[in-house]
Amino acid sequence: MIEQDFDRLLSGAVDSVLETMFYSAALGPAEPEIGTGVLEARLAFRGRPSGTLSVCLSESTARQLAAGFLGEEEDALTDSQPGEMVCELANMLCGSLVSTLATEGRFDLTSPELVPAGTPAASPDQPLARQSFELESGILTVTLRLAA
Amino acid sequence: MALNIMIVDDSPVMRSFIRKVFRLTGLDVGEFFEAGHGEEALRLLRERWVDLVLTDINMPNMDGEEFVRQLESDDMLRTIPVIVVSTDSSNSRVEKMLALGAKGYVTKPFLPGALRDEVEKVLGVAHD
Amino acid sequence: MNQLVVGVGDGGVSRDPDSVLVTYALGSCVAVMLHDPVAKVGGMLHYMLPESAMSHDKSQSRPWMFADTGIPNLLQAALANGAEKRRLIIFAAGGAQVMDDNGVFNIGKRNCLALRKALWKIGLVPSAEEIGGTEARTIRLEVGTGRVWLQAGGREPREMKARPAGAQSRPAA
Repeated sequence: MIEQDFDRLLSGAVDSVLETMFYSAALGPAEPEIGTGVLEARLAFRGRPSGTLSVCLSESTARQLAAGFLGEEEDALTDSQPGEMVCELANMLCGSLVSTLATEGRFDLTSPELVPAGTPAASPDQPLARQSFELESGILTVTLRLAA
Repeated sequence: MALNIMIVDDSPVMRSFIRKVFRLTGLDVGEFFEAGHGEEALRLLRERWVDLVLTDINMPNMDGEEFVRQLESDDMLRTIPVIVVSTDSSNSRVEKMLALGAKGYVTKPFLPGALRDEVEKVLGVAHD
Repeated sequence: MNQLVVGVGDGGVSRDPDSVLVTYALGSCVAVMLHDPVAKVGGMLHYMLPESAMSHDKSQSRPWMFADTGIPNLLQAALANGAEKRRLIIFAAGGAQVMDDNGVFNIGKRNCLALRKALWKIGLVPSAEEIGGTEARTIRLEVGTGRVWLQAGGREPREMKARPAGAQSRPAA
């Protein structure tokens, strides 16, 4: 499996999920954001292959996307909703991705969890595909790791 | 007659989204019940009457597949229609859930109108 | 038939059963129509841009220019004229990928996303839509009958039909 295929699959999954439920389009590639105020959600998928997916967004971007998703004003969101939305975004991206990977049998997904940004991966699985996307509301970074 | 709806999904925002979809239907909704996994849902279902269940598959404690299996093995609960709402779009999973007794299936991500239409189809009502 | 033209960046509602709301040359812009078949109220919006925050000075004076202000405006205007929200049938057309005056190519797509976002926020979904593509469109709503006619690419006008219930089913199992 070549890295390029993952890049294409990742951006396909991002387009599909963002446009369908978050009313947002990926406008082009971007540099990943680092520093404080970034929300990160991670989950694992088990099947053939297995691996992990993580999604990073700034709090402000997450609020804007959560407002669109829920059809609410930003100031009507609860404190936990932006984080919950990042988790569900990770869940849907992962589900979309594993559906398109050439597969046999079924996949199981773990429940996504918010982690402090910058936490190293529990297991440094290889290979790595990472893309950052520019959205109208900020930058989305998606990282895919496959178990060896 | 007001309908009681149960939403089973480990994502609170997804449960909120699904609740909002029901406002697109003409249905008279009585109460929404929510659960984060199958075990919690089964507990609630033994206490309150529910007219429709919407459930995810990938959840902790008890996943959607086991949850539907248990519903269908209970004489009372098996009469409640179930719609699966899941990221898993594989033919094998869809077939499995329908074979277990689910009446509808919507793949995430989905347009609100698509879930609205599936709910109306499963309950046998028309809109507009 | 009394023809009422809705211009670019404009919107309006009619209760006159003899009138037809029409808007022309929908390129990257989107037209949203709503109709109450019982009260016989029809409304049409022709918006150009997704969000009013992009242009603060215009959002106050020209709310019809933007999806996020125009769509709720259209609903309020229809309700003020006797429409009931639960009876409304919604149509949408436009959002083509065309080069606009500023050389921006993706405004059509962003307008399509803004359409669904704004409708979701007020709890509505389209019953029929003809969005995307590359062709400019002209669209007419007959206030008396609720029929919507779309014309594109120099071809004969054809009717947009509201989707029947249950037509959007699960992916093929």
